[in-house]
Amino acid sequence: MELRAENIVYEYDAGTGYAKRALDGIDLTIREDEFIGLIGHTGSGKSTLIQHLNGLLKATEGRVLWNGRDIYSQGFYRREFRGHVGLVFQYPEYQLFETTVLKDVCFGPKNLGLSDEEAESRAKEALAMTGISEKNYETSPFELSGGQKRRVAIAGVLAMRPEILILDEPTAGLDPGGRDEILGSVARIQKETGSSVVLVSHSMDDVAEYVKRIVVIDKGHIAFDDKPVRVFSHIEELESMGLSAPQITYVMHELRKAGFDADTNALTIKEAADSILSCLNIKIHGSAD
Amino acid sequence: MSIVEAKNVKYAYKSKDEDGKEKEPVFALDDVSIDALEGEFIAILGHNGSGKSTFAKQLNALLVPDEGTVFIAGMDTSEDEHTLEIRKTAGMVFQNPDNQMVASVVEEEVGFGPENIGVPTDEIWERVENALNAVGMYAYRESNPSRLSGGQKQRVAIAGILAMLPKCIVLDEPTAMLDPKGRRDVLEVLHRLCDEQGVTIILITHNMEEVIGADRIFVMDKGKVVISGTPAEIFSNVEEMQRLRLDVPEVTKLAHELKNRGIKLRDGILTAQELVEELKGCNIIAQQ
Repeated sequence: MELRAENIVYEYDAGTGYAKRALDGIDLTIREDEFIGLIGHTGSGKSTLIQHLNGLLKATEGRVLWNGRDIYSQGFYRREFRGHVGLVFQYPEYQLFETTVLKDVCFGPKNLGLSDEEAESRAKEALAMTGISEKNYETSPFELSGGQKRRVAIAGVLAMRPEILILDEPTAGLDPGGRDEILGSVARIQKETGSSVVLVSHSMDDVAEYVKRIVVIDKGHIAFDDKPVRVFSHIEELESMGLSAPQITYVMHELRKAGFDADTNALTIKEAADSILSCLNIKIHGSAD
Repeated sequence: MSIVEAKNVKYAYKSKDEDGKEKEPVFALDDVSIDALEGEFIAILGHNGSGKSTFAKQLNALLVPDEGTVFIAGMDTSEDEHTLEIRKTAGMVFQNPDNQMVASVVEEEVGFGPENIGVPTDEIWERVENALNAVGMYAYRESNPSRLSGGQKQRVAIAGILAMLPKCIVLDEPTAMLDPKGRRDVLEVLHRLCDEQGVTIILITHNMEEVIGADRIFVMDKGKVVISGTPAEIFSNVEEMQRLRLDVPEVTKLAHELKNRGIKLRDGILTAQELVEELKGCNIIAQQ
């Protein structure tokens, strides 16, 4: 599996006096079993980019290739393709509409032309993956909590068994408990199915904790595309783009300034704690000598 | 002086079943008492559905208590004749900036409120200029609000409230849709208004980093206030906060992890500087 965006340019209101270039030469390749964080300030082009990745927007210039085939070419089945690259919009719970949870999640697979039985079995599988219990299948989606609604909406996309799942700020507006449930489910699904996930997020802490690769978009360009450790080592550039490093990284920098041999590459609580303990230990041993 | 004084507030959303009969009320607010003094920075935390937003709406008489009382600068919200004055005193900013913009030019947006209540034209312009300066958006006064970033829009929304010369601003998750810079800018403006102009701030949020600088925090669960205190007090209890589907700041989490691994640190460490100071102390002990 490979999704490749080649030199994508996209202009809003192209050909008019108001033309505005939202994407300006994007090259991006997504392969199997990846967990990618997509970050960038408001208006950087993130949302425009993800809409290109499943063909909702057509690039003004450049190509998008799905397993080597141009998705804009004649005879390319775009509807089927959208099942392969599933997109979960911001606040997806606003798009729930059916009378029961199960029916809502069946909608996508049925639209792909699957039989009722097959659609239902996929829906149940998807609901299980997002942690919605069987007793809620016949409930109206509107009676669920905010976090549950959002998980049902994500299940609706998962039921199409996408090979790439793109989520646009899936935790916006949720409490920390809801955030952990959603990101925990997404991480587990990624691991168990080996599919790829693209997580659009404004939380550097969440990105640092979960993803394996970070793509930073700034002014319609890709500014960085690398491992989290490498991307977050560019604190000053990130800040000048309206972004930041994880909180933990700032702590490690403060410690270093104060004379501790703290590892500024630590991104998670666990890594930071390991590093702090080892530099305290060195001091203990140093004094014993 | 007390700007907000909510005492034993109970409130239930009324709903009817299929036969049109009133359902048993579920209390969204169940005996809530929260107060804020002039110039205080108050934060309210709580998981989705804990009653935070219902409480916020009580503060400018969008909702009034079923039982108990809410006084805003001494005015009872349940008395209709105070409603306009209460809404001038306590302004509200919501989560989605796009839902609260009405004009096509920033300065008209900010002038909308004062114009509506019949402020003389010269004074409107003066208020608009002051408000836009206070939120750092004066340079954008002739822009179209729809072309601004989320953080800029929220700052314009705050300016619109400021132009009403409020004593108190209530913000319901104002940064939920913003990027890190937008968040920082909005928070900075709120602290400046609080410190320099003595405006009381009531900030409702899910972001634990944003409440570190608050004077006091109230934590809500199932329509009740379950914990209240200073940030250091509130965040001393990591497990309890997580049980309430909340969290603690990342630095606090790190300090907690270090403590669990045997390093002696005090509770309620909130900032990188505090942690560094504490660890320096540990180092001295370790070396002895």
